[in-house]
Amino acid sequence: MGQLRPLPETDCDAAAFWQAAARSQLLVQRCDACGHHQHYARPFCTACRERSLQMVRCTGRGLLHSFTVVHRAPFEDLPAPYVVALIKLEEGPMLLSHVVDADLGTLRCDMPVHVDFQPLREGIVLPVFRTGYGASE
Amino acid sequence: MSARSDAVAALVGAAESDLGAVPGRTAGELAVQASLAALDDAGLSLDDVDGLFTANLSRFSVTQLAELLAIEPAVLDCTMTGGSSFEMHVAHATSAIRAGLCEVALIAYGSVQRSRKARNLQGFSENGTSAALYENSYAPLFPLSFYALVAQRYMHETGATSQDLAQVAVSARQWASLNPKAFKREPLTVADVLNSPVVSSPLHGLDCCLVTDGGGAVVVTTRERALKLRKKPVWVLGHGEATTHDAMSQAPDLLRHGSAASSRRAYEMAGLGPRDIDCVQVYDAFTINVLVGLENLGFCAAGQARGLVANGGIAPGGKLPVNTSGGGLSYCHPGMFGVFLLIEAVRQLRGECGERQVHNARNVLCHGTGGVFSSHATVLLGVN
Repeated sequence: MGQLRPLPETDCDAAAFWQAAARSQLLVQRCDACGHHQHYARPFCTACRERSLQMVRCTGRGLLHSFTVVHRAPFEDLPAPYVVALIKLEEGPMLLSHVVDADLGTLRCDMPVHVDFQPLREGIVLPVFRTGYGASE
Repeated sequence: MSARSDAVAALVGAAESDLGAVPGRTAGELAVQASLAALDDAGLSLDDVDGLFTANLSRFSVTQLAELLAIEPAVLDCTMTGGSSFEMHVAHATSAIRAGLCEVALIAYGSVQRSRKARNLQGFSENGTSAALYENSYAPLFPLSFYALVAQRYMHETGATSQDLAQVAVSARQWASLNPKAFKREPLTVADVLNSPVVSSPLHGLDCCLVTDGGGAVVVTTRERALKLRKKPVWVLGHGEATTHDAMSQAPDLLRHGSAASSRRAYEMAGLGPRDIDCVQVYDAFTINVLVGLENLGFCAAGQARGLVANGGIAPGGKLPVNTSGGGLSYCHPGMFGVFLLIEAVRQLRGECGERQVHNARNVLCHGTGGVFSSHATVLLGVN
């Protein structure tokens, strides 16, 4: 034990996502041709294969597609229980994230959630989610 | 329509190494032990082997194993897709045999994860993967939390309960009680499963597979050679592979999986359908795998698997025998279970299973899954 959670790799196409998160913004990629939104950034649209895309800011709202309460913590900087979740963003893409500060007994699939931002370490900020729609980002 | 009359390849040998807790050995040593036993079972020797297939013994698994076996095969394959690797190896070996590239393919595996305490909850973060770029900082247990996310969504959409999941573990244990080689054979109840600690909700400790050591091997050869060997050939009737994603967030659907495509490919090749299958060996890393697996493999409609597993439906004496060895939940699970699905299928089709023998088993479906439901491979096996 004594191990800390791994930091994301950011010296690649993931850079824009993590730089934005450090400014409390959640970005996904939008296709100029067909309007499809995708997470994560690629040099082409996964729906229509066109190659012109932009990183765009999300509303930060979504639905709790599924969740699991983890009861055995592998890392010392994240005590159990914690909630790992798949969030279906309003724009369409799915994110793996956390639901924070929730009453665990009230979590249900498809309940509304909204984004918040939590510093991890070394300048990395994690987009996380809270229950309810909250204020839009 | 490749029925058994024109199958190009057959499984002619199958064996495990020592299983369970096997201290004082390496993974390669267990793979060698299983290989020799499988060749003995087939009535073949190391000198006959001209195709070698393995995974995850080390970074260069297939050269490691070839050196250990002191052979220089003409076809080499260490396709590594997690638990489905060995079903893919059967597909690739059959293709190589069909192409005339080799005649005797040995597929082997070994692991000492239990004795070496190599298993941990978080798995490992592999540089450059989308999981490492976007997901691992959230500390999902790997792969357990993904299966938990699937189970949660499955229960939400279908009304299935933790009792339904537990029924899968109980059925596996009932089969294991009939298998002298199974690691866990004492009786298990639904209440035992529900009372075991939750690890990643809704999955309890006893919804999860065993952590054991062990190795296994099967031998695949040509139709002509198979017909000359002493044991009944187990024909490769069909095979299919599929992948839909690698990282957890990238799964296109939590409940509709690559197993639908891989099994469709295998069924079409074999000219068979789910109704023709007498016995199912489906990768059971967790109880949820069996429920969604049976649906995606066509044994019932989406959301209906709870009805299939209720009242002993997949247990000994049930209408669809599933994981007759006891599966990864109760027989053994040395990190990757795929080769053990094949070994049990061979034994059922030869009629070697004693107390747990499925009466008149003619067609068996083996389905391997790897990663976080990322890779899928289905193999259909049958006897005359």
